[in-house]
Amino acid sequence: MVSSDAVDLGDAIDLMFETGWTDGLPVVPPTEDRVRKFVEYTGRDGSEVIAELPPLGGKATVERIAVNAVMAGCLPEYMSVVITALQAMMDDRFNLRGVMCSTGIHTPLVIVSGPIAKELDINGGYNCFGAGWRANATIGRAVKLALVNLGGAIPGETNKATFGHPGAYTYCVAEDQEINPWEPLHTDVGLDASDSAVTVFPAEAPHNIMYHAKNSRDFLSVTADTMCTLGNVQMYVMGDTFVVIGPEHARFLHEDGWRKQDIRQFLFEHARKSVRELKHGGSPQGDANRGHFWPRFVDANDDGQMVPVVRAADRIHIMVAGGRGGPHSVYLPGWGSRRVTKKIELP
Amino acid sequence: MVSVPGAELKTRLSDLGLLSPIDPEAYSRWRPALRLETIHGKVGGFLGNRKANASLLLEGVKELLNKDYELRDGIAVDKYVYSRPAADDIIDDLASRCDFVVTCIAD
Repeated sequence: MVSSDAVDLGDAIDLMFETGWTDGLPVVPPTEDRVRKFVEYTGRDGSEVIAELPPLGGKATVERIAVNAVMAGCLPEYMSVVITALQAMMDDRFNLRGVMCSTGIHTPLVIVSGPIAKELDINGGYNCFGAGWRANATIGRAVKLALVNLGGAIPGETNKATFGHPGAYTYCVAEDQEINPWEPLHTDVGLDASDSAVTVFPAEAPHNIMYHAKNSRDFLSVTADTMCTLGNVQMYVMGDTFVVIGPEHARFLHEDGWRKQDIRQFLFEHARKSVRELKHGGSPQGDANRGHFWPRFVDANDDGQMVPVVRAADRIHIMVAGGRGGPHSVYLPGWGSRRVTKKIELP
Repeated sequence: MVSVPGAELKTRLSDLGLLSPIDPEAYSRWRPALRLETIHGKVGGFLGNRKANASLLLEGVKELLNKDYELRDGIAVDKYVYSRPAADDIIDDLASRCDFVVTCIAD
């Protein structure tokens, strides 16, 4: 066995580029001893198959996931999050094959909630969608490397994204429970608030919602307007969608007595465009009488009918993150499939 | 393009003490279908994804192939859901009735 110290770093990095096994950035060489430490940390057998990742169906064993996690720059402690994220994406509601092969501009987002976010220093505060945190950068990158190397979602080959997404390098964020006045994101699916969980969601890049005042109804009206633009894929495919409320906005909403279900209901009723306007988006894909997979209560032949951004209020997901002091929240359009949340089982 | 470790690559990985991040079987399992010597007079399948532009494209391809190669038949079917793989019954039906199948993406 060759120890990591003995590896010629330059040769190893070059070989990873040559084989097409990187995302275009240099990787940490996956030496045998480094990978073994990652596998040992999980307490699992290295040959255990966690998932058969589409589109090619590569077997994501614990060891192969560890190889990709090492390459991404992870710490061994991050393995539980990476494994849980890949398991969650295999839920049929997520439609991983479609997510990874579509022409759209979404990419899987990994959201970590619960105590583990703080334990692993996963950022949910200032610059949480940006750079600067090892855990965010490398957990997200490990997932993306696995989806390409093991799933075979090769950009330009099986992955037909028209433009792609900067988040295809890495896209991982935490919910900041210290600033969240409501229950954690994972309690939406029945998990305990004290649990740690990963939520995966095919998301576009964050769309900023700037609002300087402190009127809850006005803020939500601004948010609703941001959500239902004519170019938003949501209006035509009706998947789940996310609103990430910043600390300042969350504070006055909570003080005004708004609960998450009230926010969802308001946005469901107000983030709407008329059938007449949506006709500018082209002819329906699918059943013409149902429009673009719109809810059954919408008559696609009535120009005056209003179409919501999702089929039902509970398809709008609310979480809290971001730095204090800024008048910003963000909207994350989805793609056409569902958010999936899975509890993290620690070794 | 992702490389599947052959003998030479395996040696280089071994020399550097590195492990591969891929499942080589996944890449070797998927190969292009055997090519027919000719499609003249054959039965062609045209598998659409339920999107309007894909239907137009496939219909055009079908007309051209019919004109140039005098197909015995052209069978056009759509997947049930555009973002999902074609269901087994559709694949089985096309496989049993067609000599070749054309599919496309067109959004």
